[in-house]
This record gives sequence, structure tokens and C-alpha cells, in this order.
Amino acid sequence: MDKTHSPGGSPVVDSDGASQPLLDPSRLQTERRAATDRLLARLKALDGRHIAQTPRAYAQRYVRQQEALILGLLNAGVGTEEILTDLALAFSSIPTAEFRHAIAQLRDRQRKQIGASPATLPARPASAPPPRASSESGPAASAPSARDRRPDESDEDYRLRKALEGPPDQSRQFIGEH
Amino acid sequence: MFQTILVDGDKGGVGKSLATRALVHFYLEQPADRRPRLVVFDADHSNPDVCGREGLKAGDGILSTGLIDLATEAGWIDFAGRLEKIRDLDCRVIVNMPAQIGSAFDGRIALVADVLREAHTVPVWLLSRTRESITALEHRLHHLPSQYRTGLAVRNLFFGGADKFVLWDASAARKKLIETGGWVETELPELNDQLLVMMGRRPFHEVARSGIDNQPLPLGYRLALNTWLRRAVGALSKIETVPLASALDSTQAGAG
Repeated sequence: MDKTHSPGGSPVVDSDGASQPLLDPSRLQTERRAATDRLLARLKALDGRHIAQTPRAYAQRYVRQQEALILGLLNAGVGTEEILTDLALAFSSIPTAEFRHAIAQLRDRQRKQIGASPATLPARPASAPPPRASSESGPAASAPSARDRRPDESDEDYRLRKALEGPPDQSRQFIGEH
Repeated sequence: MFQTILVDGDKGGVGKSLATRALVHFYLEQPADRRPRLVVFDADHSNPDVCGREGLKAGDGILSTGLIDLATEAGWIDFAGRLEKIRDLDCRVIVNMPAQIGSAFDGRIALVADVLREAHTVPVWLLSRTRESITALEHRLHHLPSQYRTGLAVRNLFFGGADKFVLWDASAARKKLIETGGWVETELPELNDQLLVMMGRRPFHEVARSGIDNQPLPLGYRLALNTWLRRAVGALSKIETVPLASALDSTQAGAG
């Protein structure tokens, strides 16, 4: 947006040199709310066409739709558990585990999008649940941030998978698949 | 609970791979918060219909998939080593056995019985209507009596209706296992041939969700798949009712 507001509320000149009236903040807020309501109504109508889907699919779709909101909360320091509590209260028919899974996927998408040095990731909220107790910490387990980690995989599941697979040089080929 | 499900039948073409894939689908159908971790191994090197190319992969509820060699002692040592990493978890390890693996179970690989015990193994035996199908099971019972005290016997209805399995119905093995032992019996419904060919090795959950190569299945085949999956999952859900052999020990000790 190339429009600037002067502190005194007088008309401003934009980059084309044209004089533009200032917007009324209170009216803008009302219109913004109305626009959001219209978009939500449209979304709700779309939802109605997708009743027959699994809880997992619904949770993933919902989290995708609310991605900006949820990421905003996470980046502001709200914990995953707090968000999950809100979602559980709102969606009695969707298991919380499905939302947890969907939010984990969301965080991974964001990690990939921003190119992902661990330092740029949103900090894990202090209230986030501790990872499941790890039973694997041997040399076969790779760092959880490795490239082949799946989006839906917890740290522990990734370590377990790498431990089960073993090092790449131990992998075998099926007959006819060399 | 940690458990290893060994899908066996020894003979080629009795439906081991199909039953393995259906068992995996049964577990994937469970709610995510109640579903055990799933690990799938394919021991069939020559015909890897479960974990071969285009087959099951890690993700979507499956912790890991891979190939193991259960025809050699080194392979069993490797297998036990992998299980050690997950045996404290609520986990089901599903193993698709190859055909003609009987020699691994006849004592020539001495550690097999111990590995099966440590793996908390529940055998699943795919039955055809032939005498050989029953003879191979009797071979297992003879060599590994402790590990085969409980299990799931599956009549593969590809070979005909349940009432056609007359040899099995009349066999001493069935009397010992089903009528007086700790085995449970079920039936794997027949899957449409054409549909099976179309899907190839693709995982059922992927085809059910997004078709083949992201093209939805035609309605008729979609209905056929969904109907079959519902029936197969219902039939194979009995796996969770099979007691572990070790549990029988505790029961008997308690009774004594």
C-alpha cells in the first residue's frame, strides 16, 4: 500500500501525487468485520459440502484454513496445548490427537517455507507437551532436524524410524528392484 | 502392548501379502489417539507386494517399513536387533512372510523360537483348500509348539466359500487349534481381480483416499474397494482377540 496517513488526520498525497481523503478508522473496523463475516459465511457454506470426511482430514483442512491465525498465536507465545484446549472445546467430534497432528504438520510446513534454520523457527511453547519418552538414543538415531524427516513425524518417531531402518549402506534391495 | 504379527501360510499364492496389507489397513483405521505404532516388514524378497516399490511406506500412521531376510540366521539376528528398539512401546510389527520359508522353522536356525518368543509373536496362517496348506501348518506346530499355541487361522475365500474348506474343517490341526486351543478363526473375503490388478501394490488407504495416481477410482470399483475393506477389516480385527502365548502361561499358572 502506498498511502500514508498524517498524524493530524489531514488528507495525504500518495506516490502518484493525487490527494486522497483519510479513512475513518471506526468505519473501517466495522467494514472489516463485515468482510470477515462474509468470508467466514462462504467458508461455512463450503464446509457444508464436505460433511463426509474423516476426523483427520477435517482437522488438517481446518488447520490449513486457520493457518495464519494459529501461527500468529504460536508466534505470540501461546502454547500448542492452549490452542488444542480451545479446539477441543469447539469440536467435540474431532479427537484432539487429530488437531495435534495437523498443527505439527503446519509447523513443519512453516519450517520448510522459511528455509529453516532451527533458530528461525517459532520457539516451542513452554506449555507444549514433552515428547514421548525416547527409548532410542544410539548412534543409528539421527538428529530430528534431518532432511528426510516426515511432516507428520514426532522427534521420537523420527529417531525410531532411523534406528529401524539403519544406516543407508545397510539397506537392501528387493529382487528386481535394483 | 508390543506384538509381532507373522503373516504366514508357507505356500505361494495363498494371500499372505493381501492379508498383510488388509491387516495394516485395519490398524490404520483405528483412531489416531488409540492406534498403536505400526511397523511393517516384508520378508518376501522375490515378490515384495507389501513394502516393495509403490507399496507401503512410512507415514500416514506407519512408523517404519522395510525389508528383512528371515531365510538366514543373520537375518533373524538383524530382525531381533530391530525389534529391541521398539519392544517397550505400544506397537504392532506386521511381517509378511515369503513362500517356502519352512526350513527356517524346522530347527536349522536355532534362534528362531527364541526370537519369536521375545517378539511376542502371534502367527496368522492363510489357508487355501489344499492338503499342503494344512501340512505346512502342522510342520510349524511340530517344530515350534510353544510359539504356535495361539494364532489366527484365515480361510482365504478367494479359494471358495467358507464351507468348501472341508479338509481344514475335518483336520486334526483345526480341532487342536480352534476347538481346544488358543487359536481364533476368520475369513478373508475375495477381492475383485480387476480391482486388485488396477491397484497393484498401492496401499489401500492411499487408493481409498485419492484413487490411483490422483485419479479417483470409477464409482463401481470405489464401492467394491470400500465394501471389501469394510469386510476385510471386520474379519481381521479378530487379531486383537488372539491371546499371546505368554498370557496363556500366566492363566495356566494362575489356575494351577
